[in-house]
Amino acid sequence: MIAFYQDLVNYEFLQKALFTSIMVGVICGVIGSFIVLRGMALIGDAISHAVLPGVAISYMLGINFFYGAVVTGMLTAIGIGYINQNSRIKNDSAIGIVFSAAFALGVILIARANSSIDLNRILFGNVLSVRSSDMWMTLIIGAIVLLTVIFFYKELLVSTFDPTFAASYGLPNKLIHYVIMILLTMVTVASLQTVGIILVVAMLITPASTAYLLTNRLWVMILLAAFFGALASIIGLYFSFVYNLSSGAVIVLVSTAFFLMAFFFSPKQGLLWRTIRGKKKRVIVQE
Amino acid sequence: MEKMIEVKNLSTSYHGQEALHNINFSFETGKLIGIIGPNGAGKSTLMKSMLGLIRKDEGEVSFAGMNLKEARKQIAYVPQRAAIDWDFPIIVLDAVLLGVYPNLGVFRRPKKTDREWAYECLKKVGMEDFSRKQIGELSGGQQQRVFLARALAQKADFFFLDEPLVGIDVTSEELIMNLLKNLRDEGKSIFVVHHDLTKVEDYFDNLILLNKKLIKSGAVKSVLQPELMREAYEAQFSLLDSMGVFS
Repeated sequence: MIAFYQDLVNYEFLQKALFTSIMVGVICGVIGSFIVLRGMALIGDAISHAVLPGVAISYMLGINFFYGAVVTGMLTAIGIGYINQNSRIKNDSAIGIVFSAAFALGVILIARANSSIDLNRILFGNVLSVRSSDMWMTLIIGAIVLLTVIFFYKELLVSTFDPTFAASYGLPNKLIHYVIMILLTMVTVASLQTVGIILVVAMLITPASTAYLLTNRLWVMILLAAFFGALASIIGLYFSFVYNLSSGAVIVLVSTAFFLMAFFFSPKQGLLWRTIRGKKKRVIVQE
Repeated sequence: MEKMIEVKNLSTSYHGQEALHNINFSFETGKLIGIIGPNGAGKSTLMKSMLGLIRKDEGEVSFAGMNLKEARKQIAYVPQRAAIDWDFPIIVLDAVLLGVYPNLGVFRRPKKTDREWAYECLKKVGMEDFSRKQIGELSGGQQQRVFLARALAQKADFFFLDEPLVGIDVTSEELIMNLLKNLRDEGKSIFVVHHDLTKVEDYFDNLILLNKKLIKSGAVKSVLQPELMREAYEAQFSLLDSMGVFS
C-alpha cells in the first residue's frame, strides 16, 4: 500500500490513471442510475458495443475517436427504435440484431483501419496507458455529464419515474431519452481507457444497482452509485498495478463485490435481514 | 361557450385499428364526470387523447375556451396505478412535490414553500404520517391518495383520473370521492374513468358512456337508461341486469 502511494507520487502516468478512473467511476455511476431505473441496461450494453465501428472510422479519417463513437452510438439507438416501431420484432431482439451487427462491423474495420490499433485495448481497456489527451477528454465529458444531470435533475427524475405524467404537462420524453443516449455514448467513450467496451455496461449497472438496494431517494442513489463507481475504480487500479492484472476486469469484480455485500447485508433490501425479519414474523404468528 | 369543456369529432386509432370513432360531447365546467363503458371501450384512450398523451387522428378539444397547449398548466392527470414503477427510489412527500414541477421553470428547484405546500396536500388526503415512506410500502388505496395529493399540488382547474378507485379499500374510496366532490364545489372540472356501475349515481353529475363510439353523454339519469346500457355493454348486459343495477 505504501509502495503504491510512493509510486503514485513518483509516476505521472499513475496519477493520470487514478484521476481518469475516478472520473469514469463517478460518471458511470451517475448515468448508470438512470439506465438502471429506466430499464435500459440492454440498450446500454448495445450502445457501448456499437461504439467500436465509430472508433475504427475515426482512426481511418484521422479524427478524434470521440466523434465517430458518438455518431455510431446514436445511429444504433435510432436503429433499434426504428426496427422496434416498424415491425413486430420485440425490443430485446432489435437490440441484439443492431448491436451485434455494429460490433461485427467494428471488428472488421479495426483490422482494416490500421494494424497499430490494439483491438484488445479498446475491448478491455488499459488504464495504465492513459495519455494526457485522454485524461482531458474524460474530464470534459465528465463535466458535460455532471452539469446536464445537475441542471436537468428535476426533468430527468420526473420523466424516469412517471413519463405519462411528464408528458401530460408537456415534457419532451423522447428528447430526454435521446439526451440520455448521447450522455451514455459519451460515458462509454470515456470508459474505453479504463474498463473497455465489453465491460463498461458493468460499470453502468453494478454500482447503480448496489446504490438502488441501499436508499429510497434518487439523489442519494446517484451519489452512492458515483461513490461505489469511484471506489471500485481506485481499488481496481491498485490491484491491477500491483499484481499486473487487466484493469477493467479487476474494477468490475470489485464493484461486483460491493453489490454482493449490499445484496446480502443491505438494512432494508438485504437478503440476510429479510430472512431474519421473515423468521421473526413467523415466530410471532406461531406464538 | 366560454365555460365549456368540448370534444369535437375526436377519432383515435391504435396500430391502424380505430379505437375511438367520432366522439362529440360538451359539458359545463365545474362538474364531476364519469367515463364509463365495458372493457376495451376506449375509456382510458379517450382521456389520453384529450390530453395529447396519444396522438389522435382528428378532432378538437377545448378546455373553457383554451386549446390543450394553453390549458396544459391547468390540467392535472393521475395515471392508472399499474402504470407506475412502485419500486422507484422516491418517498411519498417527494412524489407529491412532483405536482409543483409543471409550474416551475426548467432550471428552478422546488423551494421550502413548495415543500410545505406538498405537505399540505398530503394532509388533505390524510397521508401526512407516511410522508417519509417509500411509495411501494403503501397499500393500493394509500398510493392512490398520494397521487391525488400530487394532482392537488398542481393547483389545476381540470382533473383527469384514470381508474382511481380500482383495487382500493373502502376508506380510501370514500375519502377520494369526498375530495373530488369538494373540488367540484370549488368549481373544478373532474373527469374520472370508472368501471364499477353500482355507485355512479352517487358519485357523478354527468356521464360519458362509451363503446368505441359515444353511446350517450349527459346527466347521469339520462345516460343510465336500460336501452343505452344494453347498447354499450351488449354481452355483459344480462349479468348487470341480474345484479340489479337498474332496479
